[in-house]
Amino acid sequence: MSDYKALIEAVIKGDIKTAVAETQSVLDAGSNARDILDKGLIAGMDEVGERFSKGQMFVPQMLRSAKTMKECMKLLEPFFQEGDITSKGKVLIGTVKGDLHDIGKNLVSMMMEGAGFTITDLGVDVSPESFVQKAKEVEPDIVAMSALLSTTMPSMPRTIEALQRAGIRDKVKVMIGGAPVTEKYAQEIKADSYASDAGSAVSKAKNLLGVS
Amino acid sequence: MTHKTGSITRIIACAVFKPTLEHLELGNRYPDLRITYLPSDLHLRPEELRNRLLRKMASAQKRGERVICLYGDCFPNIDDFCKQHGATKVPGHCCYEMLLGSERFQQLIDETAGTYFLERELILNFEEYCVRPLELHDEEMRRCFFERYQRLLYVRQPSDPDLMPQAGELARSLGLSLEIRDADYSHIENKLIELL
Ligand code: B12
Repeated sequence: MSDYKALIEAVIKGDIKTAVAETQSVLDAGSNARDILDKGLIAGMDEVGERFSKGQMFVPQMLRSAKTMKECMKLLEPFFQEGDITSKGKVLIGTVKGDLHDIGKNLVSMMMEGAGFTITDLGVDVSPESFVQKAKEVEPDIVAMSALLSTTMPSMPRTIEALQRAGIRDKVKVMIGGAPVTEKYAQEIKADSYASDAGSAVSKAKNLLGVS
Repeated sequence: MTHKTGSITRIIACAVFKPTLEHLELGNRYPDLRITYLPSDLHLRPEELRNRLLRKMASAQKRGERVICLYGDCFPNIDDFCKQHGATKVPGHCCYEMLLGSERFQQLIDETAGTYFLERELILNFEEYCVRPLELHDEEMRRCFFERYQRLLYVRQPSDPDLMPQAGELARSLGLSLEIRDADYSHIENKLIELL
């Protein structure tokens, strides 16, 4: 069994050079790409999320760790493209209208992608109409919305209504998140799911679609 | 019956609102009003902000004072938090919205979502509040945080010193344009009067 301690450590530190070298070295040693991703990169990012929520890490360090994971994923991608993995589902994600915070949303996208979901990222300041239009085009399983401002949270129910009006609300699961968003709010606006961080976003998305 | 409740009302406010409250001279109209300011740098440590707020609320209530919190939605569930601890939060999402009025704030965001707001405290402490914690001296971090922004919008208050040189410098360093809007205290004043 491979030891991913050094890789996990490098992801936590945001040390791209060491992490990339470690990824290459465990690949060369015959480790499975899925294993490296799950037990190395994702495990590292889970620890980063943990430290962040405890206030032991701040946003720039988290960004460095995320970038480190991204760089390492580039080395793993060819293995997944060779059919090592089938998509767990399609996720359409964006930060809602009027809101330009994207760090959390990007992290959720990255972790979901790492877990095997296919992501379409609409970016920031996404209007309900843009969510609907893209949803018609890509036919996602999940529409995921992020909001970091209490002033922009109302765009979430507006998007749900727009999906309803377009007749596609029943065809998608709606998932929401962002620092001011709560489970209670998700229930109020009749979203299907809420997650407080990227790690639980992945497990909740799997639950929603009944995949493991 | 325990001890008699006094008639004192205490506003616990973020220091961002000091110029506002001083300008409104509420003390002249409400002699039983007392104000406590908490430093605005607590926003960098939301957990500490919660704890400090809680301590101030508790000690005011111990003295039999009624407590009003003048804060935006500066940490999740702040409304419920205030309610749970027997205080009332002045309605409002963030200080910029409260200084401009929600309609004008919303208009400015609708016009350009990439608007980053500034007020006196933030301009004077930008290094401590933003540059250091967000590591904005690092070009890549600056890009990560601000690449989608288009303008800085300085919400000027009547008692502000001339902050244009500093605001201009910030705009230059972030590569954004700079606009100014004057604060309109009538909204926050009405909300406060309603609660008082
Ligand atoms: C970094 C930051 C910024 C950066 C954003 C850079 C960027 N590219 O995103 C900058 C400095 C530019 C900025 C700007 C502003 N900000 Co700001 N910002 C923050 C800060 C400090 C951290 C946010 C962050 O990135 N966290 C790190 C990530 C990893 O965490 P996260 O976003 O919460 O995401 C996690 C979970 O929430 C969840 N999640 C997130 N999205 C989703 C989506 C789904 C589907 C799911 C399931 C889960 C999920 O998973 C993520 C990963 O674990 C917060 C304070 C805070 N503690 O939240 C304030 C904060 C959000 N900002 C705030 C404000 C007011 C603003 C401004 C209006 C300030 C201004 N002066 O103009 C502007 C916004 C303008 C606009 N139009 O958007 C306030 C909001 C208050 C409110 N009313 O709600 C906060 C709370 C600060 C405060 N205490 O007052 N900000």
